[in-house]
Amino acid sequence: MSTDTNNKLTIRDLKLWYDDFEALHGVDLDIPSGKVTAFIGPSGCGKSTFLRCLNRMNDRIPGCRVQGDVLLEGNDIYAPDVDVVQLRTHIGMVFQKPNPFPKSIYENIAYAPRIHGMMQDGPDMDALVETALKKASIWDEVKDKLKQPGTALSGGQQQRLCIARTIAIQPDVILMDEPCSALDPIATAKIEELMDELKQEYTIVIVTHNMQQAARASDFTAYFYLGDLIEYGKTTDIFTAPKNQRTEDYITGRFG
Amino acid sequence: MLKPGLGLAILLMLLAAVAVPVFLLQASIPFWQAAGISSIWSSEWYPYEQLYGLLPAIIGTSWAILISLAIAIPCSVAAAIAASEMLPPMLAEKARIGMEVLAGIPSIVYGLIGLWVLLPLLQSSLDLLTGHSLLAAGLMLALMILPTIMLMTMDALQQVPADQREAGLSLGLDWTAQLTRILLPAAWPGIRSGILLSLGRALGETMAVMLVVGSMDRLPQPVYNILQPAQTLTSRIGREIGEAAFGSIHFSSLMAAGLMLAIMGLSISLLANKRP
Repeated sequence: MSTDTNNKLTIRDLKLWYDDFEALHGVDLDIPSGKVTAFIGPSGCGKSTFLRCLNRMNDRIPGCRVQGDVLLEGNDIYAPDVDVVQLRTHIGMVFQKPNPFPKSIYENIAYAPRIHGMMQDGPDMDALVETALKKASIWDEVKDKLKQPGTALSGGQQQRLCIARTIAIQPDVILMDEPCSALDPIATAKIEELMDELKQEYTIVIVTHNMQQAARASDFTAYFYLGDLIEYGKTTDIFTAPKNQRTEDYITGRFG
Repeated sequence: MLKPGLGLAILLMLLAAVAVPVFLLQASIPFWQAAGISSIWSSEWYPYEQLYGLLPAIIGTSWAILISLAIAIPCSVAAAIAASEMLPPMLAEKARIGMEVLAGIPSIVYGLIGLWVLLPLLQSSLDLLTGHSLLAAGLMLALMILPTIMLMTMDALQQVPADQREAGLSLGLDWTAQLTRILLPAAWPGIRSGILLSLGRALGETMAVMLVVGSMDRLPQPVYNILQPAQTLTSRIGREIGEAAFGSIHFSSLMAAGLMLAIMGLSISLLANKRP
């Protein structure tokens, strides 16, 4: 299970309960730096739950309890002295349904940096907004309408805007929870291209229902089933020579 | 069959909205003819000598509303934030039920409690003659509109889409930023409706105000003195309509007071509906 690259996130024996229901049964996983890692598996297998453990988005769910270690560059993100708010600026997240703020495109990007005191309004902020939008490959489409509401964009554009918004707070890791499930194939292709560019600078973890997407866009793939990590390895290996019969059944479509 | 019915319903509503001011205007015409438009800004009210200055009651109503909103808005919004964002759901529901009970209490009951509890309290703590005052009216109104604003704010907060909350959290907004930058702006239309609804109630509330305001027909001296007995438009109408002969100028002058109330209510809602 170990890889040759540096690991950005190291997860050891991670268990999670929703009240009495154990949703994750001790997951061990190393997520390499500067790569795209995909989580696949049938609905309810725990892949989204697992993803949301990585920036502690499960904290606010009543009855949810987490045990085990999640290390970000060696530091336990569940340690008592960790500032969750700070943590989430290091580990950004993009959601299933694009969720831009009901504000202008410019404001969607400038919002969080301003609140975090990263910078004030002015030429620097303009540059930050431009850079973030360029990195998210949406600059050319919106540069003439930065004052227009972000919610007026198409679904695919909204999702790229949300990615730009995440990039603007300069995270190390970007978590994506089925970012393309609400998008058409062309918009999906754009996001996949974008992930390929973004992994130069960021570690990307993506949950997807779409196995072709995992095969196309990721470097590593983890297959989850009923709260267990069944198999994890290089995407090419998982899709061409799975070691586990259950993985093979799933990716060949015999199951799931 | 359904569509014509619904059309009829909206027609009736519009008709009612137009009819109210029209009837008030018609009923107050004798007064306007006798006393003239200047009675709006004259300050003597003494019907037996044909003095019909409406200004003291207009000022009184304005003060009562101002005081009640100044107290009720911060208190109820703060309570709603606490209930929706801090209390566990079980307790939040209990708080909601408590507020619904408060919202359902008839206003005369509030008035009685005001007489029994609030007036003696004001009298002794502020060293007043009786405690009857605009402050007492404003406090009563604040108590009465607090549940409405609180409940509507709580609903509005709880209806902020989960994805907007998650967007804020995932960008590392702390509790305060999340509240002030995401939740309150998203909930604002609901909070605004709550304030407007209760403003309407405060404007029109008669019984509770009449019992504690003192019904003194004069301008507060000086105009910001809210500790003296005073009069509101509603308390004047409520107190005097029984003793005014039907069709007399006095009767018509109370209709004019009603018209003033309707105009105040209308202009407040128009003002509030104006989007920036």
